[in-house]
Amino acid sequence: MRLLERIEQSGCKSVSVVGLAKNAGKTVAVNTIIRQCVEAGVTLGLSSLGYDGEKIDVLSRLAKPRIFVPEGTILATAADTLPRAAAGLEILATTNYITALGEVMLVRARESGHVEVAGPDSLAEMRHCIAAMQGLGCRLVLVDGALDRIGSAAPTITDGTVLATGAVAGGNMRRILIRSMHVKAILSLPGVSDPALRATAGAACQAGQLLVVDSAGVRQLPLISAIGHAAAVISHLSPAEPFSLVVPGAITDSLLGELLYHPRLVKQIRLVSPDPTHVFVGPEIWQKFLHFGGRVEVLKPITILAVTVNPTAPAGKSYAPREFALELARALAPLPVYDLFLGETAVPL
Amino acid sequence: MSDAGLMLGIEYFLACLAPTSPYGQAQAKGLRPFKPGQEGDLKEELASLEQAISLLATHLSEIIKIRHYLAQLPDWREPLHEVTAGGVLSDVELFSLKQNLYFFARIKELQATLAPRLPVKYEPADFHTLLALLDPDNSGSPSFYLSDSYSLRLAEYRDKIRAQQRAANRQSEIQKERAAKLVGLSFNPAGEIAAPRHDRSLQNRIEGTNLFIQSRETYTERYYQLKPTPQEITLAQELDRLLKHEQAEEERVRHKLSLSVKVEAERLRQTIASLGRLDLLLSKALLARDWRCVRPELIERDAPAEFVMDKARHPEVEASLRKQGKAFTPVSISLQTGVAVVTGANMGGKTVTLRTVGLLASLVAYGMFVPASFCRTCLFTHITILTGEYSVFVTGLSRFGHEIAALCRALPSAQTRALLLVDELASSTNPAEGSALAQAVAEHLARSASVCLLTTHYDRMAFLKDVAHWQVVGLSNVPSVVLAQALADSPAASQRDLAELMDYTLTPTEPTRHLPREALRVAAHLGLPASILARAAELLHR
Repeated sequence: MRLLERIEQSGCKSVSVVGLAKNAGKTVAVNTIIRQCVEAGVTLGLSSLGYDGEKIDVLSRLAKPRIFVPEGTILATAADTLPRAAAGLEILATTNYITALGEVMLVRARESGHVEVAGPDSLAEMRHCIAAMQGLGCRLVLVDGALDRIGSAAPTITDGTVLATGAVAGGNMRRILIRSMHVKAILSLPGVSDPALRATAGAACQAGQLLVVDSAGVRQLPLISAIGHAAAVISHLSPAEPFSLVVPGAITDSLLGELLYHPRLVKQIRLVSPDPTHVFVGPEIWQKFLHFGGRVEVLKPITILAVTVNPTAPAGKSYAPREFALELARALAPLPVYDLFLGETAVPL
Repeated sequence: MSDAGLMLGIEYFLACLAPTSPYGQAQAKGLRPFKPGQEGDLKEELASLEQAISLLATHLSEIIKIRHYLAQLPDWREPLHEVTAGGVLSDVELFSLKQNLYFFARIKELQATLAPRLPVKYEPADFHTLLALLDPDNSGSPSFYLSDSYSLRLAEYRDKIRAQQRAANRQSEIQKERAAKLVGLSFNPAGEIAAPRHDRSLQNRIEGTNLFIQSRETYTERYYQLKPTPQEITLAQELDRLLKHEQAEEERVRHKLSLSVKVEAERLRQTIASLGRLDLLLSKALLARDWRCVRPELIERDAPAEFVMDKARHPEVEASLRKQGKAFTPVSISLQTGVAVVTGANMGGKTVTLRTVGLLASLVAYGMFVPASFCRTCLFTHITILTGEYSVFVTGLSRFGHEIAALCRALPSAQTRALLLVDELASSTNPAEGSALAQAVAEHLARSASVCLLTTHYDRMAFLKDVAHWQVVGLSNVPSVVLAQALADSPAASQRDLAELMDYTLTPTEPTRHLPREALRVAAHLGLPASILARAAELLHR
């Protein structure tokens, strides 16, 4: 099955593409989806979120990379990128969202050609832009999520996500596999199953409150954040019975690391986070946490549709493409894995 | 103006205005009070405002729509400036111009349905021709595109580019297909074929075709791309040339359009000003309705100065009281040229009276209706309020030092027609000198052409001749039994009772030797220990 077919079959109307590292092959994934949309006659909306370090060249103020878009594509991009487009663009509407490159405009490509895309700066603004592009008739909206903090949260505002990984993700095959499996595991964290807890945790996350929920009821911890206060958080917890700890901010290595000194607590705990992009935990601590019975659930789960792999790292390291893709496909099953340099269909297991 | 504006509540008024368009916001920012001599202009402004307020009652849905359209206007002052200076407009600027023109037309249509119609200075001009120029295909859509219709040459280049792109794509597809068949490999999405590095014979076969060049190499594979054929190179060069022509032609079209816009620049500027005025007028009308305002009566410049208000309210104080569940007691006062002195209990609302007088006089000067049941006033050269609330720590002057410095700046010359409001004049020094100073200042002001309102606790001031005297009724009418009852409650409750028992009404009085003594009672209500109060009473009667 080709990437676009996989997306269409999932029913997702908006898809973000995020990479595990620079040169993981994100742009190739974006270009492939665009090309397949042309072939399938799908009207596409396109934008980008966040900056990949040199997404905007500091000296030239040019947005990177340039993307070839077919006629009819709708873009949400900043005003300053428009004069540099090689395709004729029809300006459809303004958005009032201001970026370093001017106000974000909704435009339609009246000719095919290369364009620069630099979308809005915040998740809320991007959510509105996605809706606006869908309102303009886009059957699929593609969001290019950069590696920075905002860009990597792109999966939380799209229906589905394509993850790009590759040789750049680690120094050797083992590390690449561990890193890719770990990111997949975090991004696929399950939703909160208990509806009552979901409501309580949803309100707490809105209000930025740390909550403990157990059979005795709901308690708010007298702390503003769990970051830097792991020991203080733990002092409020008791291993007598299963309980949930709602953390509206980031869940970090230091919190789980501190918890691991209290295995009896870990056994009883269920951490609740707004979404997987709030979980910043390394693979080692994560595995230990799972091993001792800890659980993390999220209010807004993410749907990973596919993983693309690039067996080559620009620093010179590269792997035999077929074997590399197969290793990752086995590790990440049942997710379909694509090596877009090898072919357009998923790597068969 | 800022400190006084804050104290009076003018800043609050400006914040409540909330015009919706960038043009209205710019006008609100540049709002200047009317000065004596501009009574005619002010009357015209007040008449338009009255008309707008009556339109709120009869044509509310139209007014709401007009406000909605005003809110959609993108700010076009900067591009207008550029185009006047001979600049070339970008696509985004042309697009936002088209949006402006589109909404100008909508607003004009709606204004035509209003009866009575607002004066012409609040209406946009007609930009039918310019709008048609920005919509060459007559699509009626608010989007903007440098369409083929702008120039035959543009259309021609674009056709050629499309044809060229198709030809180039076809060429490369044919070439790829041929090459792939020749070496028995398929191309990846990046347009490469890969050969394992150990497979020398395959590499030789690929290189032998003379169709490929090596593009990159990894530890395991060697990647090749198709060499562009001379034909493809020519096509690409031709395409490049056409794209450059297209861009140049587009720039020519933008230039031409910019010239057409430049011709209309003055009319655009006028319309931007008109709509700024309209936006501000409608904002004032809505606020006047919310604040239950009346049209003030204006005294001509040659008549003696006067300020009269009946049942006036201070909206900022009123709003903050409402939040605490309390109501504002409207104040009435009538002031003529010279000095009026307000005396009465602490917590009796004297400062609020000063602020309300100042606010109403300022609102009139800003061409606004006033929150009162009646108001008659002249225009003042300036309005000053001195309340003793100074940022002592910043400047290093003492409270007294500040007050005197501010008073020096504010003292009007004999002929100026100013409004001067002073709270507790010279109260921050010793009572003997303070009251002497206060009396001297009052006597000086009594001879000026200004209207001055002073509050004081000095007995000496209450006895002054040639000044008007006003007194807060305060607690004087409350039977002592009721007061004692209220005192028995907790301090918080008794403070609340105090506000309920206090009569904030101002009454004109005759000069008197002794002011009513209510400070101790008020202090008791605020929770000062009884022992201290008893000792104070003892000292007072000694």
